[in-house]
Amino acid sequence: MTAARASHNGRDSFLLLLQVTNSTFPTGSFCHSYGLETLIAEGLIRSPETAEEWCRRWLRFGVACCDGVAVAGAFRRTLYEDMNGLAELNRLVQSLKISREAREASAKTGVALLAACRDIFNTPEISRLDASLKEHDMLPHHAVVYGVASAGLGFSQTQALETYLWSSFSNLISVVGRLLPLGQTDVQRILLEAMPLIERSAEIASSRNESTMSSMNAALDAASMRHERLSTRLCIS
Amino acid sequence: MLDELPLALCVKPDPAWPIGKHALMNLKIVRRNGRTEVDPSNWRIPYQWQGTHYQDNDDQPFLLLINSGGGFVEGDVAELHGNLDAGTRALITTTAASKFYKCPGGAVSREEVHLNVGPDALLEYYPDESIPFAQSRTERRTQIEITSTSRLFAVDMVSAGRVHYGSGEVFAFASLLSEFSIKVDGKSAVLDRIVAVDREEIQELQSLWQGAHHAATIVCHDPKLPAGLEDKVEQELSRFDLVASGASRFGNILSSRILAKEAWHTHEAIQAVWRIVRPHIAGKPAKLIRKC
Repeated sequence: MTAARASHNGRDSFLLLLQVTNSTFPTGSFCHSYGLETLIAEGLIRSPETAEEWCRRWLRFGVACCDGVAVAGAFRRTLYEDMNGLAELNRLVQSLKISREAREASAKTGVALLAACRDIFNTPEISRLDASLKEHDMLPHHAVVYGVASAGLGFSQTQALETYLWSSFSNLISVVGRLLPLGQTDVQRILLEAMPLIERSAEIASSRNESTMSSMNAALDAASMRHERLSTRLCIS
Repeated sequence: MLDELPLALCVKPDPAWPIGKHALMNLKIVRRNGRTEVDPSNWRIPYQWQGTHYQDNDDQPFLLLINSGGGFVEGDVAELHGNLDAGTRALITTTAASKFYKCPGGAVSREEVHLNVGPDALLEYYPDESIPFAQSRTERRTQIEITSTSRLFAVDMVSAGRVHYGSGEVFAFASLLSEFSIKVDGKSAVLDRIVAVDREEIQELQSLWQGAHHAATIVCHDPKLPAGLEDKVEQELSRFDLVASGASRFGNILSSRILAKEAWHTHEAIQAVWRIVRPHIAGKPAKLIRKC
């Protein structure tokens, strides 16, 4: 899908993409393990191989089938200025998070991303989302904000999805790398080998109907729940 | 009788439904004679109406939903619709697991449960598990709508198949779409959805369940859910022989995941959660439900 509008003020959308997906962009994603810290603490993840398996599964069945679908849905709704639809989608994303920490992680990073996009880019799309969610008394979820921001900044839907999935995976494997620990080379190798999966996940997310957005990662949900009571932890979720 | 229920809550049978292949049960749950009573507004076989029991010897009826067909063969549909009036309390369970048989012709078997819980009402929805057999194509939706003053204990348990049949028959179904949703005051609050409709998704489900053969989700709601209840639930679950478990809370909703190798391990864990939660949301202790 090509960009629906020209990039703002003559800015290069590729450079904007680099800026938004850079790990220094202030969303706080680097503080969340989405339950993996529990599995590391319990000894279920001990090696680069098992870490990679769990992260890939999280991407394919946690992100691609849920948040990824929401990125695509938010992107399309933004183009149609469907604010009620965005609020509904935001609630759907929240409902699919079965644990408190998963919900909070999605909302905290959503709040941070929305604030950053508002303060840095100040696009009308982000302002409208902010106002609409306040009206519905809802916190913005990360995937929805990302979809809206991507449309507002003139990215294509494919760019939005691939960068969302890539940066989600990159953040998580970096977090896991710190917790295990993994060497930087291991982290980069795992990231490189995930590229085909990221592309495939983007295809799944763009073609999947919102009525089949799913929450199939029951083991990780349970780990996320146990994380609330983990005695020593470095991550928020 | 049908017209006494709000239209949205009462599904009238379609004459085109094949006899014996489209079960329907419409329940109207009312406060009457100093207790809660369940009126079966209408039903179609294979759902059967056999009255309710008052197993706690108080005002709360226990409804054992009977599907006399014994399971879902290809193309079968079963619909349960219920409306709990304000201030009522009822427990709904099943007499046995819902078995979804093979669908060699490519059609699906479908189970729909829609329950509406009024203000200050209590619903305990505690069915047995659903078992998708090899080559089955299953669609099942449990949708419960409550208000912010309703109380709820609801369970949804799905098995991987006939775990102990022959040399084992797990994750051998052709497709599974399973949805367990809770709305509060008309807004989606919890949505637990399994979509395993292709080979990759079905095969990976075993890993997503961490090798377990049974997965249960419990959702409880109470406007006065006590602080720390989720901690007690998780601590209790840790005593059982489970693959994984956890408990969480957001607002007045408590959620729990249970993953186990054996069905009876899962049943015991669910019962343990009920034992902890029931005194708070129903004001009385849990006990084993008599099904015979």
